[in-house]
Amino acid sequence: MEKLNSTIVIIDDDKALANPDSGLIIELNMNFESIQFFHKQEEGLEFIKNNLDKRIIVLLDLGFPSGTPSGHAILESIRKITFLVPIIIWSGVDEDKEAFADLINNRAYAFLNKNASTEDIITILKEAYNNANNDISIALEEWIIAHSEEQKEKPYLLTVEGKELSLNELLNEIRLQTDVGKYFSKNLSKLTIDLLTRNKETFND
Amino acid sequence: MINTLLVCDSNNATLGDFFEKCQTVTEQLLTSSDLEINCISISGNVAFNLAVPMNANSFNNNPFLFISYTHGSESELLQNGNTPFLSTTYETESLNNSIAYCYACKAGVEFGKAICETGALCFIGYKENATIQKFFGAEDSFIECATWGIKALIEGNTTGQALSEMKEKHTECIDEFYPKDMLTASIFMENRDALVIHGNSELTLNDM
Repeated sequence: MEKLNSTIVIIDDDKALANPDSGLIIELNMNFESIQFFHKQEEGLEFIKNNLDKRIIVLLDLGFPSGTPSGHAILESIRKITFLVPIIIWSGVDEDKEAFADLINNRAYAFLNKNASTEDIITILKEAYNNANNDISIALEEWIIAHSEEQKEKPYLLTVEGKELSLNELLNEIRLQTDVGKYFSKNLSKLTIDLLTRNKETFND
Repeated sequence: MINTLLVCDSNNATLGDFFEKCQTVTEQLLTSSDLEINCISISGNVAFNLAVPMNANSFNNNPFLFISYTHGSESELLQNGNTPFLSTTYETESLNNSIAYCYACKAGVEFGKAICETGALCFIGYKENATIQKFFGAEDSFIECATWGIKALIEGNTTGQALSEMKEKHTECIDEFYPKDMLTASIFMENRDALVIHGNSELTLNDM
């Protein structure tokens, strides 16, 4: 079976979940290129920050030892860097009692109860992967990443307000889904429609 | 003889050099044409809000060509991005009898309509933001697109045909750029779709 080109980042303080002989870890390794397990929230966050050029999907627990950042706080911290990483909340919290507004506002991709089967977990991860494949913002992110560092640092365009943006700065706007980032993502979709409508892209005979 | 008033915000910090290049291309088109053209250019530190209406008013008893490369808003043409020199409430009649060709963000929303309602013959411009990409080899194509309508008018096309030719030129640039730089191609697309005409679309420079 061909593995999906994605790194699954699991941030959970339960070390038992990382057992390489567990059904979940075996299935994850069969289906995805890389699995990274972090028991400490900050280390998981650091990995994500340093690997934004990889296709990452996060499984994030909500409950962590008191005095350390909660899953809610980690989600928010990730969203301060990028909205383009799918984050699945994987938690044993009581869904009737847990606060969810911030999870929605910070665009958690899905919620999985800790009792979810391995099959359900793999299914939702694959779904998140496929959605990312079809996300124009992520496609734009990858197009920018493919440029050299020198190219990415050069001024690339002027916004109407007269602000000069390099490709790196544009990348940041896209990751944070600012108005500028969303504008260019939307424009790419419109461009695709324009090209198809004018038959610029056809099947080869 | 066709009187022409050419305004260029060459001192603007962000786009002054782009506007100036558009002015240069426009002047070359005008001087190399077979038409007899008397062109006054306004640029640099001159107070546009005085110089532009003054010069336009000296022309507007007869049809004339007004060309501007400046920032704009829905109701204004702006010097340095913030000082109106023509607007829906200031010196609108100075453009009476003009074909107004304005490279300015959004001036096609209200300004272009207002001057045509007041007495301008035609307005060609943009109803949304007009953006450019100055780098990675695209600037010349944006200058071409910005000035293509003038070229089309000089070649004898009507104002309506000039707009169509501008759209075609933008589409050509989309097709040139999208295989290597879809972002820049998308900017040409946005600019193309923002083009708008008000007033008489059947005018030619020969009518003047």
